[in-house]
Amino acid sequence: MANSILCFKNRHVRLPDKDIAIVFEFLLLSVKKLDDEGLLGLKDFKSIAKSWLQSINNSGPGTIDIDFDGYVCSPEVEKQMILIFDEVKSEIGSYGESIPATLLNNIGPGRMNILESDTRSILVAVDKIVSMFK
Amino acid sequence: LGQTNSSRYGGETQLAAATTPEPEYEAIPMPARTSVVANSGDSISSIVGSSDPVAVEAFMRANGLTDSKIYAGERYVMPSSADYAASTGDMGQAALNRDNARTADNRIDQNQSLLPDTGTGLEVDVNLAYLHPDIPDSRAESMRMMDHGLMDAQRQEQLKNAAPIMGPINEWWEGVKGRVILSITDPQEFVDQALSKSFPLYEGMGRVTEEEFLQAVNQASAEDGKLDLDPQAFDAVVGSFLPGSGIAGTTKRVLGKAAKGAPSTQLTKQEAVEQLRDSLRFRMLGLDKKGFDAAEAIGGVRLEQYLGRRIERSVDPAVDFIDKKLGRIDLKGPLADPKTGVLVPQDKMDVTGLARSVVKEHNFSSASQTIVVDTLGMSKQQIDMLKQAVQGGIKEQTKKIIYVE
Repeated sequence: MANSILCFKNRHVRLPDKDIAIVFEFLLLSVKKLDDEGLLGLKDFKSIAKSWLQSINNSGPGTIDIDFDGYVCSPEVEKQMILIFDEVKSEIGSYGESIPATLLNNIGPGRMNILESDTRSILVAVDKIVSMFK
Repeated sequence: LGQTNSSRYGGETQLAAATTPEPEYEAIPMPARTSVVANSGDSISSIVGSSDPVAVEAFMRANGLTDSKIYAGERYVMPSSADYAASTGDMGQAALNRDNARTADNRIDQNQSLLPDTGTGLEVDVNLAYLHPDIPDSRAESMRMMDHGLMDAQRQEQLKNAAPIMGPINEWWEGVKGRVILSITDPQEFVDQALSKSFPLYEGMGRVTEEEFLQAVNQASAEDGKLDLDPQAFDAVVGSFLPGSGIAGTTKRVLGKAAKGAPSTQLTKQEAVEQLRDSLRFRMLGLDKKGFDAAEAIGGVRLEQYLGRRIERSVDPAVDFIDKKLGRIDLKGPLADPKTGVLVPQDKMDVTGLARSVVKEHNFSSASQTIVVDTLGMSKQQIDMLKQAVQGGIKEQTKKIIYVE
């Protein structure tokens, strides 16, 4: 499967495109549920998350390229990103061992036809992304 | 000195002091130091008979080597206990990594001349640098997959697993013959249904060989040379395995007559089988355990056409495809909708983003050995820009980069 490399500052993680897509689908799902307080004062984060997801959905195989550096530009925002991704982990974890394919193919515009997904691998993907902000 | 024994490496082992003349003074007993003459193809680990980094490092220390290179015909001293004591294994591990990279490099280089001269791709020398310390687990993973013997084992496993799925293939074929799909009028709905039908067959589609597939088709088809299948239904089936217009301009060979959309065409059994086989091939190249990606399938098919040979879908999620000559392939592009295969409009193609992805894969990833960049749909100017940006981002090219134009 195609893999893309996400970068932040001088760190990078390499993840399967589908895992990235699922994580950011859930990121958008999570931020939609959060109010301003929940978003910890991150300005425009909802639209940023949406633009990241759009960028993912418009990418070809192995070409996902999210501009974290353009948005996460202070230690405070880095910390807030970690907290928001914690929310994403809770949301993903709530599905138990696997996330149903019907949900994955319906929660957003979707970049592909996804089969039922192992929750653990998606949580690992979230952890890897978060590791760039630590 | 003087007594020699042949070693298992084909060189000579010298036994110190065995025939030493009477000393004129009292000799201090020295531990025996053996030596070997390196043969062609030897590496340090093959000489020391171990892949233990400490043993490798001890050998390097004994011979004052700073690099893992050894030369055929040269004599090397085997390490003493003092050499072992002084070794931490760090230098040895680095040497082992280089040995493995060099071995893999040689394997691929040996095959370079066999590559077809298609004249459309940029091919450069390979110098594998796949052991990247910054990527977790990449070393072990690369070490495992770089062993081409394992690829054979992988193939054996695929063959072994093919047998149980012939039943599902036949079952699916029976379903097709049932013509249930004729009642479907919504193309997207039909694609979804076809996908949902084929997903359970992933294990089969991903592992079955072409011969086995054809055998199954032949068994399931009529004996009069024509398939017992309505051509319109067949076209719908074939069409369901293709992502609509996105693939239409992509590959004439794969689409064949199905691309022309002639539902009334009466197909011979051979034509039908060929079309279905190609369609399934397309599906196989886009399928993995997480789902189906039409853009990946397009890239895979186009790469096969470019190379003029079949490639394998990788069972290792770290890379897309495996090729016996190019090794582990990472695909970048085409810039198409992964769900439908429809190309991103040319004026909206993010060429810079694609170039960045190629550069990152080259510079940061140890998982792949070859990067294939599919430029489908791009203008010549965009392709030139892409190549320039990639070259600009790579300081020293260590992987093969192929542009499929």
